[in-house]
Amino acid sequence: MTREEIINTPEWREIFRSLPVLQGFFAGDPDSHGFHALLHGLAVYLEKMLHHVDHHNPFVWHNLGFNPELTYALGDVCPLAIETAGVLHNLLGDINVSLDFIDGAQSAGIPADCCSADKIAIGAIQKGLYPQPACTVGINTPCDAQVLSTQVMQELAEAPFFAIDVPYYHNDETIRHVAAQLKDLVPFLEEHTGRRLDYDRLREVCEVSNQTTEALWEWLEWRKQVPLTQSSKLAAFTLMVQVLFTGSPEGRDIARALLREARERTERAERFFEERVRAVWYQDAVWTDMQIYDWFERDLGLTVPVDVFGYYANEGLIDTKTPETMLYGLARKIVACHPMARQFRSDIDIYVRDFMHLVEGWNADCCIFAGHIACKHAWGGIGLFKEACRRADIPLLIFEFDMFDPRVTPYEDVYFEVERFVNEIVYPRKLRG
Amino acid sequence: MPIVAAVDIGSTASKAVILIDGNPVGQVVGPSSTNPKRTAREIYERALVGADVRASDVEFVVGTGYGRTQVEFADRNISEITCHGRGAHFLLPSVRTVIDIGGQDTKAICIDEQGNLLDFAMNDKCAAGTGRFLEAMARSMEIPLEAMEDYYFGEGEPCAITSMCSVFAESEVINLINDGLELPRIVKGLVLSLAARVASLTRRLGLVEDIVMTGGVAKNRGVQEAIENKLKVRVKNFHGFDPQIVGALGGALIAADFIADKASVPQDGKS
Repeated sequence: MTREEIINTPEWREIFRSLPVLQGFFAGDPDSHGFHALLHGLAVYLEKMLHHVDHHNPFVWHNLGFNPELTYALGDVCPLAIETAGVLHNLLGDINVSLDFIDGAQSAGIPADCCSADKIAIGAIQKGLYPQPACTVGINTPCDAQVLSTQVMQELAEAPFFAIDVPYYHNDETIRHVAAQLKDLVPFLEEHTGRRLDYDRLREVCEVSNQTTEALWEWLEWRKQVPLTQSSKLAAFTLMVQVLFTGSPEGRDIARALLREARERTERAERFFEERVRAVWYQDAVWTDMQIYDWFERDLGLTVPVDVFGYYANEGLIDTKTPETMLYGLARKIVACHPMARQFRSDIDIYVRDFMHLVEGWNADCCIFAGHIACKHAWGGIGLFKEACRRADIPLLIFEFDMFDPRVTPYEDVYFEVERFVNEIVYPRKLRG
Repeated sequence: MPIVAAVDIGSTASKAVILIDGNPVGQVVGPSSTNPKRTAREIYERALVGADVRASDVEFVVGTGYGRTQVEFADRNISEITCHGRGAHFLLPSVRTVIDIGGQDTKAICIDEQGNLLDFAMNDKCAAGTGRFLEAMARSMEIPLEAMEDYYFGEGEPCAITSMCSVFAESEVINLINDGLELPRIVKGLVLSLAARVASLTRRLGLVEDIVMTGGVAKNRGVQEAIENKLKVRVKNFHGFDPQIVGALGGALIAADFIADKASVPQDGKS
């Protein structure tokens, strides 16, 4: 695949057309450092992808749960998350393209009730939108539904496949088991990309990754401020930073820009909306239309300081002393820190515990559980979430939707559910004290 | 002596209540139409006549129900969830759970000892478990809707209605009729199917007593009995007050709160 072949596909053309438009729009806004850095990071990411295509460098595909530090440490090798095209179309392209991916996957036999995160990945692969990989890496996180897209990736990519199996349990043995698999992954990547993994380069990558993590942690602390001074819609971007950028300077710059924006706005005590109530948003963000968060703020005075996709748990940084400590640190990052992977595995207790930690730490007046329609992790534990909220005396809104498919629950219905919940229950309750 | 009013425009029935000094003096129920603005005006005028007051004497009007935004003369629009909770609490202060079965949806509403809304659960995506379900089934069996209660208390064991979907339940009912099953058995099966949906919705809120039913379907004693059996609790009655008007009554009480400057309920779309 050549640069021209990529940018001339209708699917990529739309992204390359809309990205600079949005960049131009936000560049002039002094209070959009975070979003502008994200758009800039995406532009660099896409240009690097094309650069790798120009130079015939190897590509390594991976799925949503894998963090690409090891791939970056190979040098001139391009990591590529198979959800990229679908997510970009939801964020800044044409939602109908993403829906085409979903419909295409279903036409190929993927059941309609499977997760759309899998289907957008499968649909994009089917359409041949990604440069042919030298090899692929599949991992059964951030949730085990990912096995579906990794299996299809293995079949359609026609490239050597390395599977990382994350055990069920949340303990040190699990991390060591994954670290051992990452150690085995290194010679696999070297063999199929023809590049040597330089551990000094990996150390540099891990240090950048740590800087990104530290910035995200600090950013999350600033977002505890009441009232929230930064847009709610930024809450969900941590996962994207980790999947696409972690270990790269762009990822670090995005995290630092988010932090800088939050800090500066808080220090200036600025706000662009009147915060009346704040919610912890659990489960999936409304990727199909992030503008809905602007409406929550403007019309309802509802802010979302944090959500499960944005919460980056503090389990420690990567220890860069030795190759072994780095692999252990990367394994811990993947299974114990990566949003979703941390909560959507093992027993439900950690999910509920994180939920209540977010509620208390981020001073939530209410919880919004936007349960992805295909997600057993969401719906399987719903009774426990309700119990936890009852004990904490926090109102909980539950509704089902699909983060990438607005046909399941249209924007207007999400709007209606949240408006009713805030106006009928949360705000009157707050008024009563 | 403040005079206030509320007009509740539902999907099937529209209701109006006039309140004078906290007492309901005019209350009307009528069918909804495809012109909710006209329906609102007509039902309000009938209530005014019933209460023997002039529109100019009414100090505050609340619009509620699905068509509340069409009540052009309303001073405020308040959702029917809040109104049903308020109305039920006024009539029976010990109420903590309100089951409102309307034409288009079913709601379970949880309130505190002051009548404030704590939580609610709602079935508004599917006709099963609503008054519309009973209407459609009555039509399939070619019996009046009002007769379903008598059929429910008739002879025979209930037959199993396996479909929870109104569309498929209709075909199932027709098959049962073709198989020669007696109507009371079919009606019992249908009511039990509806009660199962409502009970499961209500349990989602934790089932705190006392429990009351509001909405048009609450008038059907068969449905009430079936829900009591499913929930294994007694549903309290309002003793003489039409459960279909409870939402409008709640709206009127909230209107009185506005006059007294005690309202803590935000208008739709405004926090």
